[in-house]
Amino acid sequence: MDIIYLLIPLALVLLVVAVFAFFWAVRNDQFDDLDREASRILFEEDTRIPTTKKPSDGEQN
Amino acid sequence: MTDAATCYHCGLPIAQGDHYSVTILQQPRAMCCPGCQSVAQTIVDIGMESYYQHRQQCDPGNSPATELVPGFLEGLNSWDDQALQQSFVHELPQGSKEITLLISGITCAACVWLIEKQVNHLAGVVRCNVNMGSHLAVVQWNPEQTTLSAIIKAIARIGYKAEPYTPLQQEQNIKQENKQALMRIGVAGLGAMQVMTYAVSLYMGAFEGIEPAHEQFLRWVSALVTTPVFFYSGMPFLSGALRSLRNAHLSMDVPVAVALCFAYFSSVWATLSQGPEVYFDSVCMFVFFLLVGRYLEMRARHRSQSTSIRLSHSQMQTARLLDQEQHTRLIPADQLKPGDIVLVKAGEVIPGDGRILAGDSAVNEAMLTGEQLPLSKTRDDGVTGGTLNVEQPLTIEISTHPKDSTLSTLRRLLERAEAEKPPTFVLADTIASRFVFAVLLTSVCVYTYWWFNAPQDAFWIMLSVLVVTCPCALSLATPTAITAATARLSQMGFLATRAHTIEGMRRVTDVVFDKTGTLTMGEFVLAQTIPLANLNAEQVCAMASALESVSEHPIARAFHGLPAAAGIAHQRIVANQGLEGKQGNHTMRIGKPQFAVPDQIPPPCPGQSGQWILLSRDGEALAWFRIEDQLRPDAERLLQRLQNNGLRCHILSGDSSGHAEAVARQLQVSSVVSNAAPQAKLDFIRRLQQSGACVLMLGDGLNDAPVLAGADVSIAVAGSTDLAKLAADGILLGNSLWPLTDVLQLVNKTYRIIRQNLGWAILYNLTALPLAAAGYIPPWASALGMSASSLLVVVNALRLNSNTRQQGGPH
Repeated sequence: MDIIYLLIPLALVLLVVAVFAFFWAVRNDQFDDLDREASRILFEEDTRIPTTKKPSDGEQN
Repeated sequence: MTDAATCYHCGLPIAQGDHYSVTILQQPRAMCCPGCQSVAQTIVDIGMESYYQHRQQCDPGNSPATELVPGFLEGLNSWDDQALQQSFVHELPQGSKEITLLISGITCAACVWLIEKQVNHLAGVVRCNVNMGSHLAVVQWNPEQTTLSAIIKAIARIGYKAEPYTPLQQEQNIKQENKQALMRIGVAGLGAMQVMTYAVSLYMGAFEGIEPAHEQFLRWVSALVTTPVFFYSGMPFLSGALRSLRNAHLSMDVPVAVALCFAYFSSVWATLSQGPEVYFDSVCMFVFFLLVGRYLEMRARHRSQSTSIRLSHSQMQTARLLDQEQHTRLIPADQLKPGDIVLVKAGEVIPGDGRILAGDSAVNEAMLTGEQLPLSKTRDDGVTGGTLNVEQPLTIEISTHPKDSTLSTLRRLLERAEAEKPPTFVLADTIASRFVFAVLLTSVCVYTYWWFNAPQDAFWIMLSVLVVTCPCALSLATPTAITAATARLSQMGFLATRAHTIEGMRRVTDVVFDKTGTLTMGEFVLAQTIPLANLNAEQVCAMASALESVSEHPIARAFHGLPAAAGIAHQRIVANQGLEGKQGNHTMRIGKPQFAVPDQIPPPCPGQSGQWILLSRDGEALAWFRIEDQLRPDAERLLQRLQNNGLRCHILSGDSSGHAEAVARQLQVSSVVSNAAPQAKLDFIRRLQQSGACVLMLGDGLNDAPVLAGADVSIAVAGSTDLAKLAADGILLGNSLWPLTDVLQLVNKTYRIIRQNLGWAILYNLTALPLAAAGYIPPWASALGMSASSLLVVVNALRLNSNTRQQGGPH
């Protein structure tokens, strides 16, 4: 089990990296608007207006 | 078929006989007005129909389109003025400019998407980023290709109102605090995960055997990771406890800090001296859970704070300063000096207190007095800053410094009323403070007892007592419920803007309504028609409608939309009197009785209440019309419900027309005070409070602001002035008063849950305490119990957020 003497310090290095990555993200306003980003994935492209057939008001009724 | 009756764009009902329609998503959709039609058409034309798929819900009356005021678009070009721009536009090194815009009308993520798309499509815009939480947009543009007014117009075209905005220091602080809290949580969370893995290994080792060297190593590593968690993430608790001890008031932070300190330092000591137990995992988890709870609470608080901060200075007012050569120059209104001469066009807000030098107009002082009818003002009359010039341009000499203006005085009255506000009794605080004292006392007793009986166990048992009775659940009991309730309330159309709003609403015994704009719509409608000559009501109405069609006076608007008679032309507005027009050879007049029939004594007014105007032809009286401010449609139902629930209702009104009494009769309210100035209204509330009542005040106007601030709890209705919203503890977002009943119901439910939470937390502590004191609970088990009890409290609070409504409103 002596391997923990190597692995745990390695994990600690990763922990420090993670903490600094998180600090960087917070300082760069990545967490500024949580409501907005949640729905960003839903907004993709503009609606393509079908060009092949032009729907007229009359057809719909 | 509810779709047929409401506007597809804004959700308002469609008046019968109106036919506006736009083809959206391959379907013809009915619209309520040309405004919605053009907004919807713009959205379709720029290829953004998916807005209608993405938007979450359409709240009638609260949609972007209703925000647009026609006058607003006119003044826009002034934003391109270089001198004016200096105060809020940043010049970027690459030659582009950047501005922060406050956008009103954002209701959901689809709005944000739509605005970004629309603005980013403009030629010359470098970048546009809209923050949904704060409703602020940062726009960067190239001044050679486009102008600021073009950008604001582009936003206005899709139905949102944007105005330049400079963030306040206060807001920067909020942002900083938020970031700080996030970083603390991050460190605590990551640290807790690490330390937990080491802790699991140590537990396993305790059961299955572990090499002492490995155990020691794991302890050292845990100590290393826990140290920043304790000192950095745990700092708010440590400093909070220190502060509360210095003020000799036991807060929740004290036992938390005591438990943290004991657990941390004893673990360090155990590591150094190879003692029996370390509690590094408990320290980390404890800090993490508590920080998350506090963060959620803080976010709810910040959100409402930012709302009110933004409201307080959203409107950047400008003034047209006249120089000697009669040239106008736009300056921010707060830079006006006494002696400055300004021009105020019709439809503009008067920038400061002053005296009229030239011009003849009517001024709407509704924001001061609550009276919707404009007062006539002429040369040498005094005018008040913030009131609205309705009819003709006025030249005004400013007489007071903006700091001493009527508006600022009102603001100060408001601040004073706020400072003297009765303190809200916070249930959890008192319980907690007693409980904390009891816990500290018990741990000392336990320690002393074990010190004499089994000195080697004394320290660990005391630690168990501290951890097991850790007020985690107790300290989370109220904030989680309040946070959940705040979120639920905002879904219901009620924005709680103060921490104590919900707490205060629980104890309300009296509800005080302002009349104009709160119980009533603040818009005049035709209430009664009495024909005098041999014409029927429809005919005289049609004539009046044709005459009034050219005027935008609030009274005239009562006739807009009614069928108009043909053949009436050459309408002319006679300031402060009425209107005149020609029907063939006949001269038609409508307005004040003396104006309509100038040559004879007008016929006696048929009633006292309301506003009566007379229609005449060639000086002969044709009909009386009674114009009245209409009640909100749900006012009657609401008051009935409130009174059935045992709340006393009162009506306060600033006007003296007798309408307040009529409204009170209709609503079956016996307590009415009319013709009341702001100070008188405040005194009325004070008297109620002195007789032991807890007052909930609903109002909308500037004149209500001090009263709103003085009441125990206050609510501003939709369409309130900014100052009223600022003074209020909560804002009703929709156009209806009805959500108030749901709000009160939810408040009661919230308190049931808080009581359950507190009850559970205390029960748990009372059971665990004797066991821990007797030495039956090892510290790791007490940490587990603490976490479980906290979790239960959080889950219970989240029940408030569930969408099941017992009794729905009219939706």
